[in-house]
Amino acid sequence: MAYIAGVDVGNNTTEVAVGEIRPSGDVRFLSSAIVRTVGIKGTIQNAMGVIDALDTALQPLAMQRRDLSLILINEATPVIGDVAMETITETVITESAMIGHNPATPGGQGLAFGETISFDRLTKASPAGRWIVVIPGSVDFQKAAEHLNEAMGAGVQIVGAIAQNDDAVLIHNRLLRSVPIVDEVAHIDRVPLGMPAAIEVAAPGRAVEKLSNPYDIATIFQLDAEETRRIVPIARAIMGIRSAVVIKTPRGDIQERRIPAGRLAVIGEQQKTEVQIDEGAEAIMMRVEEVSPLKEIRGEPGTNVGGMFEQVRKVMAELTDQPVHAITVRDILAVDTFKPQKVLGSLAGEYALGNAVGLAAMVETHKLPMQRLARKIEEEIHVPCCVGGVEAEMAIRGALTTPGTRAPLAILDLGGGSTDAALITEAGTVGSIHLAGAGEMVTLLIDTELGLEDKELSEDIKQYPLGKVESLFHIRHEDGSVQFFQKPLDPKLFGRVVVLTDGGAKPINTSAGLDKIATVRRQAKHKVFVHNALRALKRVAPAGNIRLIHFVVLVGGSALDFEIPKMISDALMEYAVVTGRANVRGLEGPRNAVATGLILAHAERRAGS
Amino acid sequence: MNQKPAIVIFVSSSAPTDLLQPVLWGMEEEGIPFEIHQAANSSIGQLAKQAADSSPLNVGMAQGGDAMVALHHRDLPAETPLFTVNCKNAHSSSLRLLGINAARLVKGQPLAFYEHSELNTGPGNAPQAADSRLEYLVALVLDEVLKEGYR
Repeated sequence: MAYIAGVDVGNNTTEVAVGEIRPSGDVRFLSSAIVRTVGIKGTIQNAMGVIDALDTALQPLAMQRRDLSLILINEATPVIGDVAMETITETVITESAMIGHNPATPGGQGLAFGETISFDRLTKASPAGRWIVVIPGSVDFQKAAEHLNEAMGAGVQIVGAIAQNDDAVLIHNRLLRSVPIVDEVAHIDRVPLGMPAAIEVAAPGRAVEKLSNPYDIATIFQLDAEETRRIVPIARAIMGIRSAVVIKTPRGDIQERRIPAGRLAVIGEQQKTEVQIDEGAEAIMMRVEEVSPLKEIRGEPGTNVGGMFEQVRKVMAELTDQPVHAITVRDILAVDTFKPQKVLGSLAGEYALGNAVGLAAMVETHKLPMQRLARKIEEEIHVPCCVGGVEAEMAIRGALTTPGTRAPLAILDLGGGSTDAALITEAGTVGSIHLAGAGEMVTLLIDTELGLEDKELSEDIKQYPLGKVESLFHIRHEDGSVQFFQKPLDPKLFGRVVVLTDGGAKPINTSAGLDKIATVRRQAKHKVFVHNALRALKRVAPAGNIRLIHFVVLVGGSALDFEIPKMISDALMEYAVVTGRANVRGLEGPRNAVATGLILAHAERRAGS
Repeated sequence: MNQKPAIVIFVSSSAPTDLLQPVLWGMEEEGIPFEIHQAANSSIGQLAKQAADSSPLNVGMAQGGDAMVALHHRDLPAETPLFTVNCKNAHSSSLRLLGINAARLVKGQPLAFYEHSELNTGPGNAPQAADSRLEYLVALVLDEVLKEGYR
């Protein structure tokens, strides 16, 4: 009788299974554990995490480390992924010409057209003109209203106002005649004076109608066809918000500029091709598909993507003690996305959506120095330790302990840096594939599309459901259910969309509503995981036909995600494949597949010999 | 006693009323009506709670004799008003903010806090994004420097 431990060192977690192998060759699993991986996978720093995991697993068994007769570690396929974003369009406004922003409380209602005039010069305004008054923050709202009323009384036609402070309603309430007022314009000093301008405030609950339509802007400012084409980015940036100002300056220009994003060289085993990144994700992925099986992908130096490629190769080279030129990027995943960008030359911090392409890259080499790690563990705890088997095979073996499965079975491991798939045929042969693009890519997409610039928060949004704090005592979850609390919630959370992490509710400080955030999150997961699941399964499936796989089980951390398994299951429905989360040994859920497989494979080898 | 939808404000008899003005402007800007009633001297928390209880909008305020102003909600226990501000020391903009927050409490909109209040604009909280971009760059640089240092 022998006690054996199987150890799976992953990118994020280290998992252990402890089993007893009877002389008959039967295996009885006794315990398991999971801890955070210490150091980068494949380095000797991992030993600490491994020992910790072993101790955690042994503790409930009242066993000592020395009671183990053997420790088996996985022969991990070294795969690292990284992600980068390449922006392809941006909106540039030379000589500020637009304020399209959304103050919480604009004043008045309607559309006004006039000429901008500074507040100080109001007394000198000609009665013949129609004026839009620009009120700086130094002017108190009472004084502002007073002067506007005086001027109106004197016959000056005031049709609207632009204010720096948040007091549009206060000014409006004190006016003799109602005019639309847009407030909270931070850079009021940049508003050009003496220029034709249009201002629009929509009714509560409505969005700007005229200034979001290029033809209405053309009508107001009498633009020709070419000029109309150029104001499209402005109209687009104004869509969906409640108030806006558009100013026409003689030399003002707005451009939607395409940024040269560089090329990718896609080199397959038989052919090679080049693709411009700004052609978009679809074109890139089509080329990849055409050329595949891939040998290498090269990014153009000096671009974000080129830099990211270099970085991944460098990390892998250091990790495996190989020269950088021996490491190649083996797969990429490109995804089209939007990036809210501050409009250059804006007046109130306006944003316009630029197009961007997100790229994930994957590098793979032959072998990680796991042998080194095994020696280190052996030195530390004086228990024989060896490298037990190829990761994909072990994972399949472990996954096959899921009740209700049999070969041909495929596993999908949706990780952080790469999406991995392996297939076991009825004959027992195992094939596997690693593809670029996984959890980190999803985080990047969420971060970019919501304009958060906060990776930690984006990671939380990916992992946990959302809610809205509707009162000091209750949260409405994204599924509509309501949860009440005994103690009042933090007033900083009040009225906000929050992400409900294990550590409590965290506010998401963006103007995007819950629905929008949830949509961005789901689309990001769909674009990466569903796309990659299909791509990976096609590669491992017999004759590239997913229908010939009967069972697909999801393993690894992402299988525990609250919505990814359903998305993949929906996508695989049409192929008549049974899809679900693994339940390793009918007990562990999607965890512990590799550790379990290591012990089973060892028992088989012993029985065979 | 009170049927019109409004934030109810109890002002104790000994309180100087003019100090309250910026608070009222805050509510006006947010478009929420209010009513002011005289009340007997009492603890500021109690008074504000009574005001909240009598408001159809569940939100009340009170100004005590000592120039303190409190914002209260019907669901909160009497002894813990949501915010209390001392009118005498406070800048008028923070009093206005108290009024804005009273109104937002009614509307269910995120409350404003002083550090962001002046810069609260645009989609995606523009100024904060600008700040955090700077922070992010600084962090990046620091990271790089530290990495180099350890290697």
